[in-house]
Amino acid sequence: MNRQSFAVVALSLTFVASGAHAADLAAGRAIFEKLNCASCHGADAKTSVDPAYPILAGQHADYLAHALKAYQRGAAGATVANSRKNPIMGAFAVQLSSKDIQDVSAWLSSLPSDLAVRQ
Amino acid sequence: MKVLNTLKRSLYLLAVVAPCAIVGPARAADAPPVADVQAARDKISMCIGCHGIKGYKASFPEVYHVPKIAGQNAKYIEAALNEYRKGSRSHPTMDAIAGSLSDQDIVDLAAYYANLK
Repeated sequence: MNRQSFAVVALSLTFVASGAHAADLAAGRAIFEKLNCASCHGADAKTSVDPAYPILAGQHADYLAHALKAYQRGAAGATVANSRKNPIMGAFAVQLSSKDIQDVSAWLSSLPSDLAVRQ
Repeated sequence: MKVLNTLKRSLYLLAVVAPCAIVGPARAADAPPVADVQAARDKISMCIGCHGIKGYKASFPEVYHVPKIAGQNAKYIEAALNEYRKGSRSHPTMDAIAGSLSDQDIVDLAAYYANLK
């Protein structure tokens, strides 16, 4: 193996390794479209059809993931700390795997909005 | 006869006015509270210790950044706080805080954060 091909292999391995942990934005977008999240939250995930529904675009990805897991816990029926009982979101959340949750949360977080941490 | 007429008139007047006195305040009490952003400034001390600190994380059962609420829809903030109060959402910290808020506090805080841009 010459030096050049070694470099190519090393570089490829780096991408594979990082890809194993990074959320997949394209897959996240596909979930947003497949579950038709836009029908309530808006195509841009910030212009919701009813102001009682939250802006998701630009929210912390780990918070969105936490919220989806809380809806899963709520849908499972057990009254445990940190769960959310919501017939609509519960029905969607139970369709998602952990990977799906990571991906769709990362996708939503990457979208622009005015959400911010301010006092 | 004149006295009787005056009495009659007074009774009519009472019949018209009295229900207003009863229904009026009842309607005012049923009306949803009107948001007062200025009043919220005295109520945000419970919020800023978590939601006002960049990078602040909660840790149960997942570790995550507490949500960004500045710029969020006011009606959603109200809905979330009311769900914590009712128990359809549970979160140890938020349950306690939401439980301490009045309806007026909730609309004030929701308007404050929705407009914090």
